[in-house]
Amino acid sequence: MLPEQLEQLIDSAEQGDVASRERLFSVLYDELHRLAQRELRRGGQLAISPTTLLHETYLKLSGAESARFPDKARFLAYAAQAMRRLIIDYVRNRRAQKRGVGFAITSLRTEEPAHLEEQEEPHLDGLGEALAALGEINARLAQIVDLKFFCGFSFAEIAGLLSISERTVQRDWDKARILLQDHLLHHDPPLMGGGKS
Amino acid sequence: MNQAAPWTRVLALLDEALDLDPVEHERWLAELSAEDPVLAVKLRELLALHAANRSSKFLERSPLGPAEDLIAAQVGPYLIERLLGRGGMGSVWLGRRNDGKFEGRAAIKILERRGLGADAASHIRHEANFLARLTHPHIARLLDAGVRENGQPYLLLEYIDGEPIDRYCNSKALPLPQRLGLFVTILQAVAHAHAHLIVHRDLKPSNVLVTPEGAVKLLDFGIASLQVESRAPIESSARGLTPGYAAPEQLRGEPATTTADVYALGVLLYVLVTGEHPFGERSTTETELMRATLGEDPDLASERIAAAKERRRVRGDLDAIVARALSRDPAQRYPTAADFAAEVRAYLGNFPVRARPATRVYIAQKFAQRHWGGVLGILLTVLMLLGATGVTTLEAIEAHRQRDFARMQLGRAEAINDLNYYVVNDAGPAGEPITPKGLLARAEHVLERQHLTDANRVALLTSVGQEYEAQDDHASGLRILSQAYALSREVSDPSARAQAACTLAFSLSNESSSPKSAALIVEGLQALPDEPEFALDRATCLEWGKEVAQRAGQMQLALERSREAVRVLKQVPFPHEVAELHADETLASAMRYAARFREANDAFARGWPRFAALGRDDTIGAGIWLNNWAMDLFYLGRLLDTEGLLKRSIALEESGAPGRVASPTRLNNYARTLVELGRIDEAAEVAARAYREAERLDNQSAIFENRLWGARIYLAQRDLQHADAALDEAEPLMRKLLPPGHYVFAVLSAERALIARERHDFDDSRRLIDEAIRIAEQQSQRGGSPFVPLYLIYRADVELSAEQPSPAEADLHRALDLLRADAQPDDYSVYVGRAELILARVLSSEGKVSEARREAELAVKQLTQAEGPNHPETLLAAGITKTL
Repeated sequence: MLPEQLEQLIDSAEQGDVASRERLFSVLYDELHRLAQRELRRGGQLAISPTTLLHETYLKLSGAESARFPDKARFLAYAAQAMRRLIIDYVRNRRAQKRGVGFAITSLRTEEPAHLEEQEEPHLDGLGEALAALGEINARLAQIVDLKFFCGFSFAEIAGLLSISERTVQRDWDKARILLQDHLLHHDPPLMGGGKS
Repeated sequence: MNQAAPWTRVLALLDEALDLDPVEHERWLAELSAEDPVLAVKLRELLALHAANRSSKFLERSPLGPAEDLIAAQVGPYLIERLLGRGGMGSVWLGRRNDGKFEGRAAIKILERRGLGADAASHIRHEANFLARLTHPHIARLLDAGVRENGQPYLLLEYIDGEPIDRYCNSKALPLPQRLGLFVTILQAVAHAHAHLIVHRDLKPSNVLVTPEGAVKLLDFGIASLQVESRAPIESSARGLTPGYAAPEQLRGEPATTTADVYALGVLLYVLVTGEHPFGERSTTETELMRATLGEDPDLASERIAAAKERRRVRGDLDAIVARALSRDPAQRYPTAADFAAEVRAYLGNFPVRARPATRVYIAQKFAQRHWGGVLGILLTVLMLLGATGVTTLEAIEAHRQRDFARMQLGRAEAINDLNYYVVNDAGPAGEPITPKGLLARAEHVLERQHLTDANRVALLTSVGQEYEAQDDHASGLRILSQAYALSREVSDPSARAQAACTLAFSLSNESSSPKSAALIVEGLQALPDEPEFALDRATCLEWGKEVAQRAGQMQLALERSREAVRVLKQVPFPHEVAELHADETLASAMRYAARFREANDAFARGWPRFAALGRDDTIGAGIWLNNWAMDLFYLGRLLDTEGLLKRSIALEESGAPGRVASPTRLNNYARTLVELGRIDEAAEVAARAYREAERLDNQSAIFENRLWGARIYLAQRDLQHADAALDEAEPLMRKLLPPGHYVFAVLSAERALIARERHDFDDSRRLIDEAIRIAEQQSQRGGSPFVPLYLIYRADVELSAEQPSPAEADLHRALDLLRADAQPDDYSVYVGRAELILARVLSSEGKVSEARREAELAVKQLTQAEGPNHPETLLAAGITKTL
């Protein structure tokens, strides 16, 4: 895909065109997935960080030398969602593999006990649904979780990216986590169905 | 859409609650419950989740699991032993070589590929080859670079076991000069890299380590440049930037040049000087830090320092240096680390710092710190002060006339600042020491090319001329000052006219005392309207006038002028420590020349602690003060004290720069003191140095003084022929440079008398000493001379040798009366001691044994204190008390 086409796609997605948004998502996902696969083939585990992955995807899709695609912030807003999907898939896949091959990948680790991962991972499936619900309530809160948790950006970077203060990012992050935890606990957010005004 | 409404409400309430202190939540929930019990229950639940999220660190761990662990992994020829740190660009590990070829450790930096280009590996190799060429004792070397099997690039770096410089300075509680010394080393290393076109881009304390041996090492030079430049103003850490140290233009994504390093070094200097980050107090988050970097000016460094003495040291120059390095506009910063280093070195050596904004006071202070006192750099101090009057009163003064005056002075201050900038900026190609002479020649050259108003040109020429005078280069001084004076006749500006006239008067009086000098002082004073804004000019002219009068032997007039200068200085509407200190010095000096040694000594002793208070007790100016004080003590007859102060004074002057020789005047004084103390060999050595230096500088006054005191050395060595020759060399110079009847001619006659006595030519000796006393008496009538009692003692000595006890006794009593006139009970003086010693010998020759013994005992007391117990005269006096 050419940078101009990608930019057009972002434009129409921002104007609410559902088809464009889905097309954009799949383009981004495919590219992230391709790069991640390359990494996995090289090192056996995902040795590069998601931010690197995003960056390389950006370079790839925008054309590194092109000056016509300067808006990395807009790009990342969509790419972060694709990253969420990719990571959830990756972790699910890895867990399945681990169960099959008996924790081979973690054998090198000495500092961090492997069971920590086991504690976190069960959240991820539910988390995907919870984030989808959160995105319906407040898109920015979900986006901040994508950028922070899935993509590994710092608060400062997110603040720069979204043109809001770092304090607001921190506050939104707190609120997002509360609502996500609430969703995970109840599965069916009570206020969502019952509210009438 | 309806459904979103309750969530909107919930989120708003959450915001409200999260703004509160958790202890207030109960009360807040109770209030909410009264209004909407269902929502209150929900909010209570959500707040509990918030607390739980915080303690469980919900979503704070990467979904991909912990970061990669490389312990025991093989990277190139190294086996990784432990993690040294992680940062935005990747992780750093300590590796030990295990290929059997070499022993050794290396820091292994595994780079995150985010931020690296697609062909990262070849890019890194290329850059690494370039960086590996950078070798400097204070830069950690890049040993090699490579790519791991998984495509991750890594760098092998010299491993430095050290502490970040900020922590090191604090843990060692290093004093400011040592911190600055380390900082200059850093600047030199950075300058070296810059000279090889390598910019660091990420200088910060964690990249500047100090080893346990105290050596500074810069890490990661040029490594940030391995990152591909990103245009978007985000991902600062991914670009290898450190908020708080990255320059504003780096944060904006503009290319980083040497000035970006200068900025980071400015932050580092700020931290080293104050212990705090320039924006650390105001900014708690990275974004705030970045915002402050992009749009705010930090406090002056000195304002962050609590200790008063330390604050005073930093205020002014160092503030200006730091502020210039931290300019948000790169063009306003030091263009390179080398320029920056020159400035910090200048600060450490008390040379003018060009970062300093346009104040003439400042330049004056610098010159004053360097050559302060006596005849040196004085006018400049006061001249520059005027600039400050202009600046400080610019807004305060309403009257048109005064505002115009202030504007004019401000313009002059800017012109001087400009000159200063060019002079220091152009001076001293790398490695060459900056010499005052070199600076002045350059200043002169720059002046020729600059477009200036005539009044400003006069002011600048005048200051350059004075500096030449301060450097004892009278020929150049006279040339420039004559030029300034000629030009000043065509301008109406009273300050410029007055300064040009009075300074030229001083310069003329230097080599010959002409009526023209005296007339020029009067002319200069008349040029100045009697108004407060010209008070400083007036005081300055009076001070030059004092020097001129003194050189013409008009001591009373000199004293009056310096008293008048002190009085006039009080009209200046702002207090200034340097000016006050200077007023003390002028007055003390005038008192000394008016033979009021006791009062002068009090003034010197009073002023000395001010040097320490101003932090200047180790400056060259302090050395001059010590010299003048020492010579006062010389005439009070306290030779041991004189010797101690002169030694300190010379050491201070010679410590200014390697190979620097003290001024011939000061060396002459020292030689003369050593002769009096009977340390003839040392005196001869010092006098020889003084002579060489005086000849080199073509300082004719110093040459004849050197010959006068040199004659005494030859006399002590019983080399009468050379003693005569020395005086024969001095005399024509004196006739050329001094007015007839000047007190120095008394010295000449007295020295000839001593030689004649040594030849047992008592008649000739008597005639010569009579001549000396006659000149000295005339001098005393005009305003004081230390020489009358001294020569009376000489004469008594001659009379004793000629076996004429009664006139000798009369002369000695008269000398003692004069010497004791204003003495205090516990005073002591070598002259009193000598008079008593000779009196004891005279009395003993007359058979008055008990009186003689009494005088000898008194002499022992005086001489022991004044010259020491082992001086031949002291021993002689002690011998007399025993034999009688």
